[in-house]
Amino acid sequence: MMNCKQVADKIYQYLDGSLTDEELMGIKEHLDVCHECEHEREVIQMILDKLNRFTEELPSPGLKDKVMKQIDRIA
Amino acid sequence: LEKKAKDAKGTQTVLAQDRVSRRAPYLAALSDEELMFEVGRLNVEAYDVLVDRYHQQVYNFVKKNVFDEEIAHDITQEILLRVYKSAKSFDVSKKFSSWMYKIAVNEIRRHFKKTAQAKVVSINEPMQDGNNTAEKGDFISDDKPGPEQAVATELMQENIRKLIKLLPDKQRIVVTLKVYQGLTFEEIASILDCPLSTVLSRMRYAVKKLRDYFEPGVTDDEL
Repeated sequence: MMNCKQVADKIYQYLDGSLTDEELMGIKEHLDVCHECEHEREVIQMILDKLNRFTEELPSPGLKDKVMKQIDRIA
Repeated sequence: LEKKAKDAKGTQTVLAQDRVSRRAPYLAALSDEELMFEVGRLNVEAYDVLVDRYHQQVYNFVKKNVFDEEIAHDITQEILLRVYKSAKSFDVSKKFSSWMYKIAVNEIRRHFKKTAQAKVVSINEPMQDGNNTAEKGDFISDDKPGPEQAVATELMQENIRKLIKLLPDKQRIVVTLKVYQGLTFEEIASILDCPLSTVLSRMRYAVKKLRDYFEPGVTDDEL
């Protein structure tokens, strides 16, 4: 099982889903028993979720045409 | 003026639809990398499909880093033009989106250098909440039921925009690539040409900075 320091080092990759099965298992086992690390994971996840609510910003409808007009000129 | 703007918008829509209808149908089924191979052979229709796929995504990424609408439009155009001009140098065995984001990041960095962007919002500047002040935890309160919800959501959006603006450029680029473009940290490291540990460290610092504004332990249900 991993210790707190190892989990802290890997926590973003854990949330990213980019760990090996072995690392994933090691973190899961640790989070099941360590309330501090589990709380840390929850806080980070919460912040990422909040940031995610910042909606997509759309360009003006004419942007693509402006680009294509420039391409037509140089193509 | 309003009528002129409407007419111009109408003409643009017709132009875009016309262009789409003239495309060879097989192009839509090609992968990004296959399209880039075609673009390298100066196939403008293939480029048109790629621009369709990515222009909103690129704009969204740029806008969340430079904040100004007009500048974001200019930079997005420059990125998309560079994609076309550099198509011949694209290695089709590599992932197109990573290559494109590399161009995007370079353009954003170029902008930062050129303008030596002044940080408009400082830590001490109050956040907007209707009374021109905001306290820690305000960013969580966008789930109020009833007619207040739309206003609260709008304020939440504005406050998150300001929070992201507070981050140093390097951290903001990592956060926007991660949270809004959905890239993995390894992809981000490859785009930024830096070690994975550097990317993770920037993300860690950014979250540390932001967490002060998202009161830990408070959930939406408690508000």
